[in-house]
Amino acid sequence: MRASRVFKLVFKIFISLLTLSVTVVSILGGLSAFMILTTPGNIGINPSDADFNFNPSPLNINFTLPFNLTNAGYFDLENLKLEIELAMNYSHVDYPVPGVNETRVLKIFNKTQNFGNIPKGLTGNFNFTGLFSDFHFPPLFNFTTDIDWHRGPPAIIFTANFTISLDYSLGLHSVTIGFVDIPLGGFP
Amino acid sequence: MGAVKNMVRGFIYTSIYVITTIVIPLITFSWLFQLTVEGIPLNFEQQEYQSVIFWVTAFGLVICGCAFFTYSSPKKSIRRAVFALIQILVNCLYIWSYRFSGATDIEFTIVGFGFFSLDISQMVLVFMGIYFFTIVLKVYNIIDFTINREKIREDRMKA
Repeated sequence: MRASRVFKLVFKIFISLLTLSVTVVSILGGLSAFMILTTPGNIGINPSDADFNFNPSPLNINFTLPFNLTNAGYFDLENLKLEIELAMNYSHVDYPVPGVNETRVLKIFNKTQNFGNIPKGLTGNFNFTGLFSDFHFPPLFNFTTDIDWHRGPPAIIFTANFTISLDYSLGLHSVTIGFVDIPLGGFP
Repeated sequence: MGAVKNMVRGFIYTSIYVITTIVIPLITFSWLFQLTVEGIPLNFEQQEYQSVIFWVTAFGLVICGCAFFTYSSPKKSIRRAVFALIQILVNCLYIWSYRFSGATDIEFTIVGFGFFSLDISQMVLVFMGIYFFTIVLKVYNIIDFTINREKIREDRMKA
């Protein structure tokens, strides 16, 4: 057999092995992602579990949200991120003109926390923390005078968007799950 | 007798390509679009689904046609090498069609909750890399079969 034939054969085997391994990893990765998503209870995030502290005067607001995720797949789950966006719905006194109170939805919090990897077959338990310093209120916003406390109760309704993103099978699959406009509760 | 054998081989390989490039992807996408997450059914845009199905079927049929001409050609013939190269180039377009039809970044709506999206564009790029190696091999075949044409003919006559 000529040297070129041997080289061609080796190259062919190399391509076949590469194709086979990537195909197997892709199929198993896709199956894993769907096993995680479709099995009820694998994604344990419940807003009612959050320890939410809100005090309008002096203004202090923070929360801790425990959540867990079970990696029921064949590979390690990488780059797990949770993004939480909080909004408050309230009636703004004398806005946009004096004598008119307009209902506004104000984005007050947006933070993404990276929780790293979850090895296959394990459940990761995490805590997402939102500190007072992570909240962003518009300048000159006054909780005591700008909010119509006669509306409701509750005068303020908090809602949240949760976005979980993760990479699977060496980054070949990226999955994002978003829960939008989840009611968290009101104050007072 | 050899011509009949080649035709049969062409049909067999065409059937294999029909299954792998059209039937399996269509079943996978149908299953994907009927999925439930945490017990909640997913919603998707009908137009997006139609687009994915159209491109998968269109390129799948072209690949199947190329596969027939490739595998029904005599072994080590220039015709076979050329069709094999065309087939791999169409295969690249097929894989790339997943990207431009929106199949690599599918976003579903979870009714009353939010959304779910799956991005496999990285996987498509890895497959494109593998196809590059395959194209190199097919080009080598064309050159090899052209240069050694006389020897291949002699071997064929002896057989």
